[in-house]
Amino acid sequence: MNLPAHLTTTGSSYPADSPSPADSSSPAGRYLDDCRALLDAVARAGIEVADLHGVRESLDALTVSADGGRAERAGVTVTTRLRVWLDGRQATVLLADPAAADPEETAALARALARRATAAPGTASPAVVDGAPTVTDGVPAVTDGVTTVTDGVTTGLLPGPAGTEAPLPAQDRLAPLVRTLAARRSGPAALGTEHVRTHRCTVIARTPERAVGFEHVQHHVWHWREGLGGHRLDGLTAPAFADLDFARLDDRTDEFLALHTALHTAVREPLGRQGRIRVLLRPEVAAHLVRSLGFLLCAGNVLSGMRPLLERIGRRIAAPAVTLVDDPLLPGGSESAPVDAEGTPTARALLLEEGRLRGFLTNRAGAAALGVTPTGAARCPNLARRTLEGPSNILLAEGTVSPAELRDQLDDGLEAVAVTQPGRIRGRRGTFVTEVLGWRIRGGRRVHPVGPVRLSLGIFELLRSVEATGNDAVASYLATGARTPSVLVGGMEVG
Amino acid sequence: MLTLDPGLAVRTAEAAAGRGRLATVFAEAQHLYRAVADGPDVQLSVHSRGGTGLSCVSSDGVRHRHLPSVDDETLPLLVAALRDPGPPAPPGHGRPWRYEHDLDAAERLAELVALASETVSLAEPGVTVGRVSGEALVSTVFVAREDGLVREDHRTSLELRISALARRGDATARALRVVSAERYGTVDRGTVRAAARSAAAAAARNLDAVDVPVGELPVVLAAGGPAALLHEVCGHGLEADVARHPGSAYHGLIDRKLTTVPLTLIDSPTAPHGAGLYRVDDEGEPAQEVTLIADGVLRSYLHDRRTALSGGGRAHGHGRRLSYAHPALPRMSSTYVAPGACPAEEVIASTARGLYVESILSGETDMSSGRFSVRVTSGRLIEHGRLTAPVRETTLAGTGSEVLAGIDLIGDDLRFLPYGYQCNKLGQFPLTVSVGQPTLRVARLAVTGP
Repeated sequence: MNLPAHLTTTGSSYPADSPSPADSSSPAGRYLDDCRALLDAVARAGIEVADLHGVRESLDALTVSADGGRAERAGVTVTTRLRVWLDGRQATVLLADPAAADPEETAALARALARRATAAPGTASPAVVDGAPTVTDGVPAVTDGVTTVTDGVTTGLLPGPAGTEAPLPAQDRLAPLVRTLAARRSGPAALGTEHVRTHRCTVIARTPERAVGFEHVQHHVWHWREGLGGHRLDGLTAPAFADLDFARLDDRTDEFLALHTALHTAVREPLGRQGRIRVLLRPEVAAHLVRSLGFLLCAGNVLSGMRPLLERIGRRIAAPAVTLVDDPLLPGGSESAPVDAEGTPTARALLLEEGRLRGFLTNRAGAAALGVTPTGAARCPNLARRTLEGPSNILLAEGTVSPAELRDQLDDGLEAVAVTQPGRIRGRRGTFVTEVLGWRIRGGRRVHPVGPVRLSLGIFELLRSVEATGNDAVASYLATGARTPSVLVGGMEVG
Repeated sequence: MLTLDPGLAVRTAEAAAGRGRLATVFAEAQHLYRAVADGPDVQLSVHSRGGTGLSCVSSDGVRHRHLPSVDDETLPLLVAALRDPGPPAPPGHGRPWRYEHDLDAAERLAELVALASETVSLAEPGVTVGRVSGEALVSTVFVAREDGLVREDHRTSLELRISALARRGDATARALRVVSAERYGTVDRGTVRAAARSAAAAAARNLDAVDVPVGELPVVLAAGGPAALLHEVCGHGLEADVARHPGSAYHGLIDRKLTTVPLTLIDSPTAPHGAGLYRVDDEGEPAQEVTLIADGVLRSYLHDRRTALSGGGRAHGHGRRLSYAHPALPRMSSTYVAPGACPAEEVIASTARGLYVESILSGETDMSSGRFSVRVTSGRLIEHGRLTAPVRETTLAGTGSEVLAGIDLIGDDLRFLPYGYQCNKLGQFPLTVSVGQPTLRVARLAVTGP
């Protein structure tokens, strides 16, 4: 097995390069201070328990549509979520920049809302509910914009991304976007493409003294074009514009367009098989399986419907080819963060090692239920929604063979290249279901295109059926955070 | 709630526009109250948002800058930022907003949500439990343009989503009912109770649901919410920025007949029956009713100022944006089919075998080709002209032109689902839309399974 470096090293860093010193006078530093001021006001308002999660995002986007029209969009948005607990009642206030409102008024509003909420009789303010903070969290640390570690919790503004990226000239961004649209006139219509740079400052705080801020710069390029069953989106992410691998996106587009064209022009041939078929899941398809596994192995999910897994720690539940790691500290990862949505320092979690179950992803409530240290798996991609457990950068280890060699090993089966319905685990029994486009393989060669084809299998049987993984791991754009190679599966149900 | 000087805002738009371009200052301040009942607890939240955007529009594109502040200090920063790449520098800490919250409204919302949750639980004791959420929106938008126009619009809406979950042994089933209106006063406790009982009864009934046969079937779409299908298959394709792309589904089809029956499709931001959304669009244009298809013939696309400028059309109040952080796009508002002459019960009675669709939850459309797939979350089989067994979730797929051409019966029972759907376009999601229709039959439509 050829483990990538980030699966074999004992530590990883955030961010990837040498960080610049934290600057409390920067927009991120000011935002952190404003959040602390709001929590100060909340404490003065007599609110028992509170937490704060805020994101200040500076965005710069350039969109090119198929008719050549351009849209440039740039600006700043701020969303700050304050949750309070009072007499067993909870209320949430989402506001923009806390500095644009009087902190005392915001605290009073939160208090008034909590009083108007209802709670079951006898309910007390929870110490830990859905990521709510505990009030017995130890001695506060004094901070002044410099990071401090108190009781294992980092506070202050963490070092930002290395260097300052100058605004990109429009022409530099435009050229690859136009090339993406124009290069393939013979295939299905390209409808639009966009480059977006985001610079985010995230603040997670339980009290003014226990507030942490960190920054994250990300570049996205995406395009959408006509596909079977709906428009098809694909893209790339990278921490810097220069790291965006347009050639890889072009290769994927060419692969998809060749398949799409073949499906439209060739005489439709049936798959020729019912029941089980051997399948080679290419990375774009396997990524949805890998991300689904991340959610499957969250403590909350295990405790609510997969309790037998608790007895399987250390035992084999998957084929030896399966090693699965969640790494929130992956350098350059789209989901990398030094703390999770509850402020817990994040850590790499080994979930499956050569098929053996090694652990689960946990937020604070999940970890408390299991009696373990939280892995920092609280996620909140939308501040208007609840904080839940989930994977970050979830990685399936590479094997040693190329996709072409896996196709040879497949011999007679289906090579699934693209999804028309992203895969997910459904039902109480946990069946992985997806709908794909691909190629019928005979004698290790592509003989005709097929699809859309529905593939399914019980998730644990699927894990045991993995025969090999390829050496072609890539990060998925749609299955956010998933990085996976091709996966050869001994059999999946068709139809 | 807004504190912008109208004269300064117009001068800002003029400065941004220069010669031959359009420019719009758009500012907004909104409070979205939300109550969620899960069991006996009701949690309350409020989401307050405000900011200012400046869009400069020419025939070949849009430049947009935005900041999360609403004051006069912000405006020159946005003008300056239009000349430079990258986001504008935000202003220093200006005047704090005065949040004018209506906490009594939030409390009334919580009461309605609690009532619905309790009613679901009591309707089918031991069988159903409710999960109910409610949202009340209070929003003010301000628009100033390079042509001197200044407009302000106050928008409100109320929506309760009443979900019932039924259990019997290992079997589970769900049903959803939505109660929505433009403002509080029009939703009474009786309406909420009736919707909650209906959700509970439907969830219990769905425990005995059967699978729909996969294949092409006659499909009868109930009046009201199932109009989301037409929203999916027609709306985006008839928005001018999409429709004018060569190769898109409705490109070049103005004055062409699209249906075999005299179907009339209308989009009206000021639609009747409480389904209206706004009086002035997000570019300051008065909201106007647009007849997209009249008696089966395509008559118009939906325009914003940019598509009107570049395509020779007329802006008619369909420029909408997700927030101040986005430029306007041509978007649907309240899309509905005018009632026909056939009694609704006859539409079902004349169908020997088919699928009756009561609710559609989500959909996806390729804006260019018109291909779509939508999830049917509630429905019944039609056998020998009668509604019979409830069906499990299934999917409908096809193209917009297939659906339009396949409509062969139009009922006389127009109903709306105000504010019931959230629409996505180019990442601007969720944008609230209303839909409406009478009972419709599509002669053949592909049912592709769960």
